Amino acid sequence: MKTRANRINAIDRRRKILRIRAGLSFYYMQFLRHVFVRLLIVIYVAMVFIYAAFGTKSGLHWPNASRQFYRAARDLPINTRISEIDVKRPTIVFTSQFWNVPDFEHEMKGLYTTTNVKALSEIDPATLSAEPKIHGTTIAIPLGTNRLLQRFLNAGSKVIVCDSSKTCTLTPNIVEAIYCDSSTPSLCYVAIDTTSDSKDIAALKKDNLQIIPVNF
Amino acid sequence: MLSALLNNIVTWFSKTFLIASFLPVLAFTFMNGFLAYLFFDAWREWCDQNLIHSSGAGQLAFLTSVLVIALVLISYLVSSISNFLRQIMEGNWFDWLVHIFAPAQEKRLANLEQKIIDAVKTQDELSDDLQRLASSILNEKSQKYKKSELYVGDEQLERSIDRLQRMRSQNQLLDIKSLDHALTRFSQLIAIYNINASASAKRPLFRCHTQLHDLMNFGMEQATLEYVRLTNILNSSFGTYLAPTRMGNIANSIQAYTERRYRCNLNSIVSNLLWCIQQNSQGNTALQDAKTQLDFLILSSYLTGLWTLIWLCVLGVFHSSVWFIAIALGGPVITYCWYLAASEQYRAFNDVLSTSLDIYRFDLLKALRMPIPVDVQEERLIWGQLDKLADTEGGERINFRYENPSK
Repeated sequence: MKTRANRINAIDRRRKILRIRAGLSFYYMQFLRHVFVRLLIVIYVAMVFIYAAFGTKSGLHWPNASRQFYRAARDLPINTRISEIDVKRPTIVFTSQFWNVPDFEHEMKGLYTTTNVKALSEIDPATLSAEPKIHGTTIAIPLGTNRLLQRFLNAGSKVIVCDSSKTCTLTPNIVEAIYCDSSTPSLCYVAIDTTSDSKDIAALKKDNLQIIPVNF
Repeated sequence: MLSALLNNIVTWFSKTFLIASFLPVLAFTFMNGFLAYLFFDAWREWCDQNLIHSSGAGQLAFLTSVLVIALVLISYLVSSISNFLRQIMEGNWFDWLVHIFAPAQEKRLANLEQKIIDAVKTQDELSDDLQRLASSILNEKSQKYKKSELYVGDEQLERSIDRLQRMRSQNQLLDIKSLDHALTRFSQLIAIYNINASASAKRPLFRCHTQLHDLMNFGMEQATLEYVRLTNILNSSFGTYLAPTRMGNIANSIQAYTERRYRCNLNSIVSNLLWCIQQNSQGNTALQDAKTQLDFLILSSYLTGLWTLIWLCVLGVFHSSVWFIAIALGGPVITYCWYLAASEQYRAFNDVLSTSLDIYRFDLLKALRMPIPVDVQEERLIWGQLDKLADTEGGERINFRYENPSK
C-alpha cells in the first residue's frame, strides 16, 4: 500500500514539474502530445489523395475505366470478321495490366464488327457481334477449306467470281462478309453483293463458282 | 530445383539467419517480382518464357541458383545491419527528432498512469463505502424506535443495483458513481424502514444489502487486480527514460527492471550474461528463439515499408491512381502492424531476458569469480560495485576479493 501511495505521489510530482517546465511552451507541448502525430497521418493521407487525383496522368479512376482496348490495324468495314492481323494489342507499357486488356481469343476472335472502324480506333469487344448483319441482295459462295482465303478474305475485299467454264464477272465484287461454321476444319462462305453490275448477275447464278481475290 | 536448393541452404546456414533474414528478403523479392509481373509487360513476358514456361531445365536451374545466391547475399547484408535497424526503431534518432516525438509517448504514459490512479482511487472509495455501509447497518440496529415494516421495494435502488450487476457480468469496471448513488439511496431507505421487513417487496432490503455488499467486495477486488494489471503493463512498456517510440520504451523497460530489482546495469553485463546463458542449451534456445522472432518481425516491418516506398514511386511516376492509393494506404498500415507485432515480441523477449537474468545471475557472478551474496541487499551492493569497476571517480578504484573456485 505504501509503495502504491509512493508511486502516485511520484506521478503527481512529475506532473507538477512538467507543468512548471511547460510554462510558455505549454501549448507547443500539448500540440506535440495530442495533435502532432495525428496531424502527420492526416497530412499524409490528404497528400496521397491529392496526388492520386491531380498528380497522375489518369487521375482517380476505377479499374474498369482503365480498360485497354485493342486498336484496328487498318480501316475495318462493317461485318469484318476479326482476326489477329486486323488488330493491334495495346502497347502502353505500364497500364497494360493484362486483366485490363480483353482476352482476344475468347472476346474478339471470329466476331464481326457492327460499324465501320477507322484505323487505330479502339475496338470495344462489347460492340462486336457473333453473326454478320447483311443488308441488300447477296449470294453466299462456299470457300471450301482454303485456309489462305479464309485467313485473308474479309469484309471489304474485292473478288472476281468465275464459274467452272472460266467465265468470270466483269467487275470486281465487294465481299460483304465472310462466314465460317463451327465444324473442324471450318467451312467458310463468302457473302457477295450482287447489285454491283446487272451483266454479272447471270454469271453469279451459276453453280460451282470460284473466288479469285483482286485485293484484300 | 528451388526446394532442393532451399534444403541445402537450410543445412548450410543457421536457423536464425534463415528465419530472421532470408525469409523476409525472400518474401520481399517475391512481392516485388509479383507486382512487377502484374504491371510490366516486358517483365511478365520474360518470366513466362524463362521461369513459368521454361523448356530447358538447365536454364531454370541456372536462373534459380543466381536468384538464391543474390538473395543470400542480400540477407547477409541485411542481417549485418539488423542491430542498426533495431536501434532506429527503438528511437535512437537525432535529439531534435526525439524532442518532437517523445511527448506523444509521454501522453501514452500519462494515460496509463491516470488509469492506475483511478484504480487506486476506486479501491479507496470502495473501502470507504464499505465502511459506510457497515456503519449504516450498525446504526440501524442500534436505533431503539420501531421503524416501518411496510417496505414495498424501491425502483431507483433496484435499478442501480441491476445496472451494477450488469456491468459485473459484462466484465466492465464498476462505476463508482452508480455504486455511491445506490449506497446513498440504501442509507436513506434503512433510515425509514426496518432492514428485515420482508412484507410484499420483491426484493427486500436485506437482500439489497447483501447485493450491495457483494458488489462492493467485487469492486474492491476488481480495482486491485486492475491496479496490478496496469502496473504490469506500465513496468513492461516504459523504462526510466522516455523514448520517442513504443519499441524504444519497451526496450528501456528491461534496463529499468534490472535496476529496480538488483540495482544492476544490464548494458554493462549483458554480453557476459549471454555467455552464461549459452552454457545451458534450454535457456540459450529460448533466448535465441525470442531474438530470432524479434529480428524477423523488425526486418519484415522495414521491408514492407521499403516495398511501399518503391511501389509508391513506381505507381506515382506511371499512372495508376487506384493502385497508388491502395498501396499508399495499405502499405503503411501493414508496416505499422508488423511494427506493433515486433514491439509485442520485444516485450516477450524482455520477459525471456529478465527470466534469464533472474536464473543465471549467480552463474555470472561465479564466472567472474565474485562472491555469491547472502541476501538481496548485498547483491545490490555487488552489482553496483561491479558497474563502477572501471570508474576512477575521486581517484579511487573499487576493490573486490575474488572467490577461489576450488574452495
